[in-house]
Formats: sequence, structure tokens, C-alpha cells
Amino acid sequence: MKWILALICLTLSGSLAAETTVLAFAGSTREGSFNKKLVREAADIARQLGATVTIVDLKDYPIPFYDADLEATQAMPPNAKSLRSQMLASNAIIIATPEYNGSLSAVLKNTIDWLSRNDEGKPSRDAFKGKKFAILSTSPGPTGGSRAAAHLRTIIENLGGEVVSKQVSIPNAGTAFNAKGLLENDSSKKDLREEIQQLLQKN
Amino acid sequence: MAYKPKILAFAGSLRKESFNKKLVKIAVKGAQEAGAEVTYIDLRDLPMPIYDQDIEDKQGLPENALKLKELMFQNDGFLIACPEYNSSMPAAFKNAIDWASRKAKPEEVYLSCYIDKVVTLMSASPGELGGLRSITQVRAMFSNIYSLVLPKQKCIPKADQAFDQDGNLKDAKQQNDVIKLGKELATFLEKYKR
Repeated sequence: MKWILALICLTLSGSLAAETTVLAFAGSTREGSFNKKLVREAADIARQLGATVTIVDLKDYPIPFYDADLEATQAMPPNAKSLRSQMLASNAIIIATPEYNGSLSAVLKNTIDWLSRNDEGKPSRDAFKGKKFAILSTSPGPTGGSRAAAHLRTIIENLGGEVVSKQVSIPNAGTAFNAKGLLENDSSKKDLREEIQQLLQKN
Repeated sequence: MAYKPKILAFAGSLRKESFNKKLVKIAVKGAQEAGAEVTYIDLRDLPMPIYDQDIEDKQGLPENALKLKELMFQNDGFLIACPEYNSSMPAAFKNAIDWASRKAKPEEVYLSCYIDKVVTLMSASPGELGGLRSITQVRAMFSNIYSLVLPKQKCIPKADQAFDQDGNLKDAKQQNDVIKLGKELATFLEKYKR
């Protein structure tokens, strides 16, 4: 009987995630970014659970700093438009943030700020409202980026995004990933899986 | 010779007609009245690429980041008016802080342009909370990098209606509170640096 139950559970978890379109990105543009590694592993888990996942690299979407004067003359820069349409088309988003000076990176904040506008130069929550978010972080230090993750949570929740309760922060990033870029520690892998399961669970 | 407080003042916004630029200039007046030497800068004059460690590793710190660091080293206090974008600080502001936090030379003590600097925060926003959520995160950030953030801060809500054509706050109490913030940073530095 056990195998029948296992098959049912597998099918159910697969079908729960099957309609989910996930967008995943790290708040770092650095080539060897630890947060990009974390995003890739999270994306793999989401795919195993049946979701359709797109990973983007913010390095491929350079956007000038948000400046209301710039917006008044040029509306939304093309890279911001492209990212925003991908956000709009997704119902779940995975973001891994590094921690710079106890808070998010400028590249991540800038991306979010543009995503919070529409192409008529007005504020818009459409890219965040009612979508589910999984926040991850990793950093070389002992806090694993958790201060930046806490700031990010506030930002996304205030934009109407639904952030899952589990929030994985991986400390000591320098030794946390193996040669293939995957997490070494089984307990971290389990936590990551749990968080992605929360993300893909239908309410 | 008596110590003359040296203060760096700037707003976290790039916009020309920024409310926060107007706001910090009021605090600057207060600091100057209390005898401080204040250097006002505009982040618009110090454009920098978005921080990426690969850029730092290959090219070192950009010219304008080095200029900002130098200004921070030369001053003992910072008067900062920071807008609120989505409950937090603008990216251009964070970017300037991040670049300035990096070592210009290997022998430099890490974060030395922030350690023991005294910071006074304020914010103006068109919204009802006046930028409170942003400076809450700014306060945490500066504390994380060992600056001493003074407890008193000021938030100006409905900023689009709060200033007159000369850039002063229409409400006399608000105007006075902001001038006092500048004064109190100067007098704190006098006591602190004795």
C-alpha cells in the first residue's frame, strides 16, 4: 500500500506545482556569486516539483538608477520593462539576496524600484501583489545575509507580495557550496527544499 | 584651539527638485548656526556604476567613490535626508554607501570611513509616514557599519505640500525641529570629540 500512497503524494505535489510559473534571480551580478548558486539549486527543486522556472541574471538587465527626472523624460528603461513583464507573467518568485553593509545590494533595490512602476511612470504593485515570494540569502559571514533578507521581506510585503514564512540564510558561503555549486550541508538542503515546497503549495 | 565640528550633508535622492535635498539644507543651516563647518554634496554630482565585486576586483574603486570616501574621512558627522522608495532607501544612495565602504588601499582599516562617525537622519515623503520606514532601514544599515546614529530623527509627511518656494518648511514647528537636528549634531560632535 505504501507505494500507492507514495505515488499519490508524488502526483499531488507535482500537480500542485504544475500550474506555477516561477521567476528566479539573485541580487548579485558577480560572476562567481554565491547567491546565483543558491538560486540555481532552488530553481532545480522547483522544477522537480513540477513548476516552470525561468532564471534571470540581473547582469543581463543593466538598468540606470531610478531617478524620477529620468522617468519623466524616458519612462521605463527597456531592460526594466522586460523584467517587469516576466514578473507579471509569473505567479511565484524566488529571490536570493546578498548582504552589503547589513542590507540589500543596490542592484537588487534598483530592480525592485523599477518593478514597482508601470510604463506610464506611475506607481504599480502589479508585479508583486498577490504573488508568492521565497526569499533566500547567503553570505561569507556568519549571518548568511539574514539582515538583508529581513529588509527584503519588509519591502516585498509592503508591495503586496506574499512572502513564505520559511527563509533560508546560508552562512559561511565560502565553504557552503561544493565544486558543482550545490549546497554541501544536508540540513541546509532540507531547509531549502521545505522553503520551495512552501512557495509552490496552493493555499 | 576649540574643535570645530565638521559635517558632511547630503540627500539620498538624485532628483533635481528633491524634497530631501531641501530638507537637509534646512538642517545644514542649524549646524552652521551652531558653529559647524558643513560640506553639502549632491549625489547627482558623484555618479558611480552599480556596485559589482567583479568591477572592484578588476578596476578598483571608481573615481567618485574615492571622492566620497575622502569627504567621509574628512568629516566627523553626517547629516542625511533619505527618501523612501518602497519602504527602504533608494538604490543610488545605497550604492554610494556600498562603494564608499570598500577599501581604497589594502592597508586601510575596513569601514574606517564609517566607524565612529555620528549620523543624524531625516526624511521627507509625499506619504503619510514621511519616510519613516526608509530611515528605519538606513539607521540599521549605519549601525551595522559602526556609525553612531543619534536617536532623534525627523520625518516630514505630505512633502509635496510642506515646503514653500524658498525651500523652507511652511510649518514653523517642523522648520524649527529640523534646524535643531542640525544644531544638535554639531553640539554632540563638540562634546564627543573633546
